[in-house]
Amino acid sequence: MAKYLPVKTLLKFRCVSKSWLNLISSSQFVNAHLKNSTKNNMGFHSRLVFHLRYSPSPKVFHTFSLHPKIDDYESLSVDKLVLSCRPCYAIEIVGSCNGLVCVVLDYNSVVLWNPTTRKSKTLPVSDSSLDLSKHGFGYDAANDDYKVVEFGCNYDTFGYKKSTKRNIYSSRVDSWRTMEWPCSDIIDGPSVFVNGVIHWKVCDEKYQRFWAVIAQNVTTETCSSVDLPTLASDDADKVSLGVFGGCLSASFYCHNYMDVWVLKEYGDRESWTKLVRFNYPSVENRFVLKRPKLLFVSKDGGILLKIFGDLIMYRPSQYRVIHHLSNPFVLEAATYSESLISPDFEKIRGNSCKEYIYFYLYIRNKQLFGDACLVLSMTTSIRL
Amino acid sequence: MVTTDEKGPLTAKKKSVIIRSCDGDEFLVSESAAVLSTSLKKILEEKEDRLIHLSDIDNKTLAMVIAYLSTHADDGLSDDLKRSFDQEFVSGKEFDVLKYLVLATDTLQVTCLCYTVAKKMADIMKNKLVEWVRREFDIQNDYTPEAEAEIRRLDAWAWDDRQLEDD
Repeated sequence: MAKYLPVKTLLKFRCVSKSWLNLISSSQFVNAHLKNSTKNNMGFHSRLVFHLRYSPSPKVFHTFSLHPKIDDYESLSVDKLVLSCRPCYAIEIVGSCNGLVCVVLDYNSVVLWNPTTRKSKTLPVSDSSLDLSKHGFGYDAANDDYKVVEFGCNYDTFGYKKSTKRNIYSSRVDSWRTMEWPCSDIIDGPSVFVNGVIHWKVCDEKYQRFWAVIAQNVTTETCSSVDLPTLASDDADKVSLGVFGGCLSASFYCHNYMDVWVLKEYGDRESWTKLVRFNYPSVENRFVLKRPKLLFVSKDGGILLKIFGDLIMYRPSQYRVIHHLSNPFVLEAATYSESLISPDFEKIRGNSCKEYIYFYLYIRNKQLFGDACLVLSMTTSIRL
Repeated sequence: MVTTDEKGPLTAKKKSVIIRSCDGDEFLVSESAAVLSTSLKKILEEKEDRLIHLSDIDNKTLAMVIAYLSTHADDGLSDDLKRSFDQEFVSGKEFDVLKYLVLATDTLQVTCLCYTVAKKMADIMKNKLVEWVRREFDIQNDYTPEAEAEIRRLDAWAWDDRQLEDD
């Protein structure tokens, strides 16, 4: 029963007694809670977080729930959260995983942040610095390990590219490793984490128009490629990647319309399905490539997009700007789910399964009702 | 050649089971309803006995669970009707009643009802005070005042902005 409670309530209920504290802090409970909230939302994230890409510190992020009617921005309950981090000017929201949001400060320092519990952790600095870098964030379920991948290259003094590398951070060991990057590609657009794999859209430098998706498995750390859908025209450079309900999606945009494709069966090229095509007003400034980022598709078919400084909700019949910032402001935005996962991994792993069983026995002995017994019996990991 | 099965769907429907609560009252339940509970199904598979004694579920709670099982075993009702029955089933019930229900559904392993009741309980608990939870679950506060204050201090933001209920 306790796993159906919202995070905020659970943080308070740690005060009920020591055994409640142990239960709510145990990794078994945290995972059961996460599993339940993911299941309830059918794999979709339940909240949106956004921030200006460039602004002076302190960093005040805005978040709101994606569930109610989100067309009316005025009536949304928007939370303002301050991320405690070192002063910086530029930020990038890489993405989220199990309720942890990965934020990059000034292109080099990485912070993992749980906006729901308001806890954050600044990762150590990687050994090998890169002149130009892109980040990806994912969860290795096989080893219960959160990984940040930093891809980039170094240039020599004449501006020629020397080497292409990737640095991989693992939360298990709390440090970075450097690995070679198997191909000499240019990365285009943000990374997308789906199905245990971080996806990057890349283009081979020699053949500027040859686009592909490189997929890095976070468990094996090997790379492979994923085929894009077969498009009517050869305009794959107008594709941006995204996530749609746990599936990889590709948004193909033309000057006045946009198609959203979804890869229904991962690994099966034939299962790319066109989800929707909708019109959007033509770009006012033709020289600015307004590459939209698909954020969310609501149950009634509304599509939430980020285009530069705007959050836009599209309906089949109309479109509506729900948050507007004029040029040249650019927003960073990502969806996330509410969880108790702590970005400080040492702390959470300190609580063993033993605590959990003691708590169960304690409740049973006292002939108390409900919560703990239920939480246990409904958690598949321990069946007593 | 096997042509007929003794436990075929037609005969199974007519079969019934007697379930006795801890108060000693007996309830007549159709077998198709009883097997929706994983525990009862196991008991029925193991022994021929048509009388099942449940030593830790009282009359009132058992009657409610049986009403739920019978409704869900009724093939004549659509899934939509069953869903709305579930919603009505938990609405307006006292927290105390739900506590007994959730325990009974756990013992009987009626996953679907267990989920509905647990969710309803979570809805009620959501905006309650810590003191309310201690009272309802009869939990002794084993923190020293300093230790409790420390935990409250850790996530001070979670405490401030909502009107909490204590009844």
